[in-house]
Amino acid sequence: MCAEPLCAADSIGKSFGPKTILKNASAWASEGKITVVFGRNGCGKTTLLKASVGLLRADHGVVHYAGQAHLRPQLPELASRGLFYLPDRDLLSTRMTLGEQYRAVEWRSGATDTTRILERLSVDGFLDRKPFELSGGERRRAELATAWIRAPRCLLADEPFHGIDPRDTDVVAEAFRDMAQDGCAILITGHEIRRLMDTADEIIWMVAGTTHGLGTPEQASRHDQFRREYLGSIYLDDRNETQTRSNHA
Amino acid sequence: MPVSIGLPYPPYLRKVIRRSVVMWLLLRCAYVAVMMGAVMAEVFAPAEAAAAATHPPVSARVTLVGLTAFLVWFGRMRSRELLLHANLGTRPGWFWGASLLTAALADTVAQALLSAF
Repeated sequence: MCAEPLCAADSIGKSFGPKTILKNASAWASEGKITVVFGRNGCGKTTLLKASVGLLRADHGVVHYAGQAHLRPQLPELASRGLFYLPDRDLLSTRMTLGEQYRAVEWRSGATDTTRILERLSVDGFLDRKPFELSGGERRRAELATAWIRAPRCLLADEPFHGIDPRDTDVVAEAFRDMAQDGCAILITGHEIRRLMDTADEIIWMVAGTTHGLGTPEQASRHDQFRREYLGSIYLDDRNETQTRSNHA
Repeated sequence: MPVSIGLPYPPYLRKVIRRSVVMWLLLRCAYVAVMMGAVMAEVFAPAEAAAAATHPPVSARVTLVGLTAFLVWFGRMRSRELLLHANLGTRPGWFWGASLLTAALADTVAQALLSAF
């Protein structure tokens, strides 16, 4: 962490019955930066995000947001100060059309560039449809559009690239970049290694219920334990291939 | 100003109020149906059941109002309407309050009309 982050979940612990998911996990999002949390399936990334916004009550830990400490954070309170939580699914209501839901978000944010955002994410043709009438990827883009229209100060997004085809991941990554350039503090989880390593400014690795700040993607990719235990052969192969190509050139 | 006190989006609040009215009416009809069933099962005499249906005891009225608010919330939860509005900074108390007030108002008006006739 270099500058003071806008949002920081600090030393969060959470158990479900006898099973401890988070022992002492921390995550943070700094203005104008994209921070990515990596971790294996079931390691507690979603739990950490949910505890950070108060959708789950943490056993211990504190959330700092915009200079205030919250022992029991509540999403409406954080959201009224500019935080937006994008869950891994089911952000949008199944009973209302996208158009109706975007109007509600516009009303709150006072956004004037909704049309541009919808066009950028290619969801401008779906305004009369309800979320269940869309494919998984379309729904994901529609949910991201909701977050973008809200123009949040801080966005916590749980697996935003999940279910999106390769071409559209470029569009979504650009959307995150644009939001970060506008000063938004972004915290993302996911497994799409190459895409997320290209998009991120900072990497956090979650393992065994705790987190490690690994620094920039370049620093993270040089971290032996991270490469060995999380990236595995895919990333190492990719690096070797790149090296071989540059040698041939 | 709307942000600081977490005002709900007005068209959606109206939707919740409409749903509360419809839900209260359905529950009240169900209550009358239960009374008719009780007459058919000879638990109540017809006159007794008619009196209970048109002028329910306070406990039944309070239960119907509370159940209305709960079922409206349950419907909102099932159709995934809670998270978006929480993300807009709206406190859930607005919708609970709107449902309870609407159902209480509907109950009061209905009782006043039934008493008048």
